[in-house]
Amino acid sequence: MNQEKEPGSIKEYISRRKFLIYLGIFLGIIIAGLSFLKKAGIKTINRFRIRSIEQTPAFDPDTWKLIVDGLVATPLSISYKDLLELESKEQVTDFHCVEGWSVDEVKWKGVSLNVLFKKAGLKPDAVFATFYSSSGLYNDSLSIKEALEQDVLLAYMMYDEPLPPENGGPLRLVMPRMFGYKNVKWVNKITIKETQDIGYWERYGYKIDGVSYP
Amino acid sequence: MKIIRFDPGARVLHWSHAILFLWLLLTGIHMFLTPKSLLGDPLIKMLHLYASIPFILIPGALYLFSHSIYMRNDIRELMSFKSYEMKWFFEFLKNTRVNTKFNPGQKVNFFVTLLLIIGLFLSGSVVWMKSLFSVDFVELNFMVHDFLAEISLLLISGHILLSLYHSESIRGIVYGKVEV
Ligand code: HEM
Ligand code: HEM
Repeated sequence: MNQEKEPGSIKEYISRRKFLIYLGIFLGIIIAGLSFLKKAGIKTINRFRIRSIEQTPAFDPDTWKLIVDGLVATPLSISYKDLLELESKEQVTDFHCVEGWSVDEVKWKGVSLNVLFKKAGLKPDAVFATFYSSSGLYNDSLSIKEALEQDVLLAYMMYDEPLPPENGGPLRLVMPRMFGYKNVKWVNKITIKETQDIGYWERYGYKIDGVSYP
Repeated sequence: MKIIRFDPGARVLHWSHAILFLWLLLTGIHMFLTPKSLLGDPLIKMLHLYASIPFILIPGALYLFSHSIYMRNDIRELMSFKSYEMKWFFEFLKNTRVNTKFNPGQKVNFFVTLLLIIGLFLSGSVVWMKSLFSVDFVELNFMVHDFLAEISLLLISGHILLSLYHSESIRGIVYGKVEV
């Protein structure tokens, strides 16, 4: 039955070097192609995937308020209209998710935390800020120092449109250096504290620094 | 008359690999379609990860340690694609007969499958040990891993359709012998 010859090594048919070259070309084309597509902003790759632990809350511009309280000289309660009149800034920054995807070059507009903190007047023992989503279920925190970093923003516009509800409208925290779970959506309360609160996902194991993978 | 097309060594290699591949593909698609939070689906994630170990080790071990001459000859032939065989693809619809055991399409399928396995393994390992790498690198590897899985899905659909079309070949890869 066994008339077939014992074959030699596979290397007689394709050398290891040639194989590695093919492998390199194959992976190289794929990596270059995907990077190009992402830079070109192809919508299916460079897009937000909607993640939330709660239902998108309803928003009424007439009754909505942003509260700033805790260790401040003057607690604030700002209406949506007043918020839009505060000194604003625009920025284009990338958004990274801990799940392993990102959205390049998102254009945001909003209020820098510096503006609010100045208005409220931080007390000397103020070290951390906790950001609450309007349902009260979700929250996460930054140190005041982090909150005052250059690109940190409370955004109410995205891509020149009012921030869509599923992306956190009317107001979300934008902290580009950190993963999305730190970028609290539907913010309506900021409480200034002396100690740091553990955020929602951090209770389940995500890192409090917002930059390392769990 | 019936002749042997695939000996047990070759069949075990095909099916052990095929089953694990399909398993990784299905669990991968499940992960792709659901949010991957810590509360998402740790079980599926683990089943994907732990299947990836035999997925690499079984074919490797079979190739290195099995004494199946048939299997080695098959692999040897599948790896021996010659440039003149390109012609076959242009005559594809004419159903050109070849006098080798595998046609050029099967050879290309084998080679691309090999590249996909290595690519999925490399990108999957980075994604697995993501805390060791930079965020940008991990994100790139996620995209590569997903994209390679998409190519696999296409390739395997074609592979299964063609094997159903040439239904006698299924008898070969399942029972070993085919009618001539
Ligand atoms: C060979 C070894 C492989 C390893 C080490 C591996 C590893 C991984 C890891 C670590 C993840 C991410 C899980 C997470 O979210 O943390 C993943 C996801 C995934 N894998 Fe694999 N995998 C392998 C093979 C495959 C194969 C053969 C396929 C399909 C043909 C595949 C398809 C997928 C898909 C579609 C995802 C989902 C990615 C996403 O959600 O964006 N993987 N894999
Ligand atoms: C239900 C699933 C599958 C069926 C019915 C099937 C069927 C077959 C058949 C009939 C052959 C023999 C062709 C011949 O006689 O020349 C074959 C060969 C082969 N199969 Fe599969 N297969 C399946 C899944 C897979 C998977 C998942 C992979 C790899 C990812 C795979 C990779 C191969 C390779 C590399 C060959 C060698 C010939 C070639 O390159 O086309 N198969 N398969």
